[in-house]
Amino acid sequence: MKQPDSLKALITQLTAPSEEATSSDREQEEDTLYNFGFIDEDSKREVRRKLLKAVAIPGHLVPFASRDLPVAKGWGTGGLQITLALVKPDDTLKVIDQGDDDSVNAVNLRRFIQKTTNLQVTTDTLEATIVQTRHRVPEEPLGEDQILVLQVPMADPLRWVEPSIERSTEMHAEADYAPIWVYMYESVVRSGDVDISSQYPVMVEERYLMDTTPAPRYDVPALHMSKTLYLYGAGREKRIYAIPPYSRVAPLEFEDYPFKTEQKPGQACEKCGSTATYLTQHYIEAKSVDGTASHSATNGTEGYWAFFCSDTSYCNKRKKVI
Amino acid sequence: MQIVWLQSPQTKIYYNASTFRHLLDSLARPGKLNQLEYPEIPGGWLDEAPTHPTRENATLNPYALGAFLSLIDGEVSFAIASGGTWLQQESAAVRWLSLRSGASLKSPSAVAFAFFCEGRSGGLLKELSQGTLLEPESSATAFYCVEQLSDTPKTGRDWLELELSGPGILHSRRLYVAGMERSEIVAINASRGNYPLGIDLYLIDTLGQCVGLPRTTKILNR
Repeated sequence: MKQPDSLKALITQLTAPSEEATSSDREQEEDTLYNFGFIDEDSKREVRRKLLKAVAIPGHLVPFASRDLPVAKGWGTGGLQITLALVKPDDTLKVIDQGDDDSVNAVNLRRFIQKTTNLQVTTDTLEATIVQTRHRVPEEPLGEDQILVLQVPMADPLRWVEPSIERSTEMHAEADYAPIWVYMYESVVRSGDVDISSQYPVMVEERYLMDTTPAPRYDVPALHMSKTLYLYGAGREKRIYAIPPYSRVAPLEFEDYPFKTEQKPGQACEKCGSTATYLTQHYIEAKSVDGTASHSATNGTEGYWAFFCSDTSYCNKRKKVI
Repeated sequence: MQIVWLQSPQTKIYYNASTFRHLLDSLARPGKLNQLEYPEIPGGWLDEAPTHPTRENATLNPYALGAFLSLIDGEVSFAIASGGTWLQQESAAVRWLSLRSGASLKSPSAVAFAFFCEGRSGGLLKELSQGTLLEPESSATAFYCVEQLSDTPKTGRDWLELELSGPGILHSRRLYVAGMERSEIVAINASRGNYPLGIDLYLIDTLGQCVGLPRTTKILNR
């Protein structure tokens, strides 16, 4: 039987362990043993077919055969599979985690995608053709030639009110969303307002109830009539869904308890001074006299809570301008 | 920009990726013209492509064939029709598609993908699955081979002027189609009257321009 070249190369390498592989050999090995985008072409095709259906039925959860990857499920494998099925060699990729380009999840996923595709990567939102993100929509408005891929931990917003996936699928089919309205009403009775901090449920095109991932409420208005295609992937739950550009996305709200974002007037980023971005709170440790961090601030500076832009790339851009 | 290729640049992997992006963009922005790549790959996977099943000395639209092949494999089934009739297993076009994709020919109501060799289905569109309320994504996707598509005004008896609206379109968009019958638009609209059920469509012309018409798109024949 004729063996493929890549298999021959591997057998040769394994049977001659004494020969030290040179760096050029290792490069050659990568050339022949990796598929572009790591996952095989049949798997990509399956993800692609499901993505097309997700775009055709905005907000509908489309099941897909979530493949195993060298990343644990729950760490962005849904978004990763979408990105790997999307990319072509001339793409420029940005990966963020909670708005941050440098967090562990973002760095690892970016490295993995770059290693298996040789794509150009960037931290500049405006340079990217594909942005993969965990729980944030970038601050800078995305354009028509960009795609936002979101990693989703919990795909079905009805999970709060209906633990059975079979029953919640029926509820989506019948557009029976009464229980979620009751849930929201109860939260108003309980706490005086709708106490959903993130993962705010929205109606897409007046038909499907959709989860917005644990993105802050601040990001929800960006989904409505956006210029950009939003693709959502839940690897652990094996679901894909999408919001096409220029689609109507409305957060659930009562007339007397309208939807609100969490931004408060007067808050500003400590680094760039922005008052019009989503801010996260960080504790700045007290410093002792010699400048090292300290639990107490005897004769040094007191520790305090500060606000910083969640979108680090945008914050750095603003700082450069200032 | 410098591109470092992991595989030979001419492989089908890159053709499939690029074609998918065009198909995705077409469906996300209905009515937008996307130019598909010509599926010319050394090794010739489009060599010996079947001729048009019902038109003498005519070829099947290679752009549409390439796009269709980029989505089907052994996990899905397909049907192909020409001249208002579904082609049978022994047809050259069916054998060629099955051999190159691993996809199987099934009855029209069970297939995930349908290929119409012209801009008309001859009433066959209604035989395709529109999905179910529990699984609207199980509906068929159909490819039409039309003669020409344009987003600039065209006049003449051969041209249909369509006004499109719905998700993916800011207000409305005009599309001009040659090689499609007016009755086909009626059939298409009839197939999407019960959203979220419906059939998603691609129109691909002889120059490789592609337009997507998902079930959410409202089509008005002007």
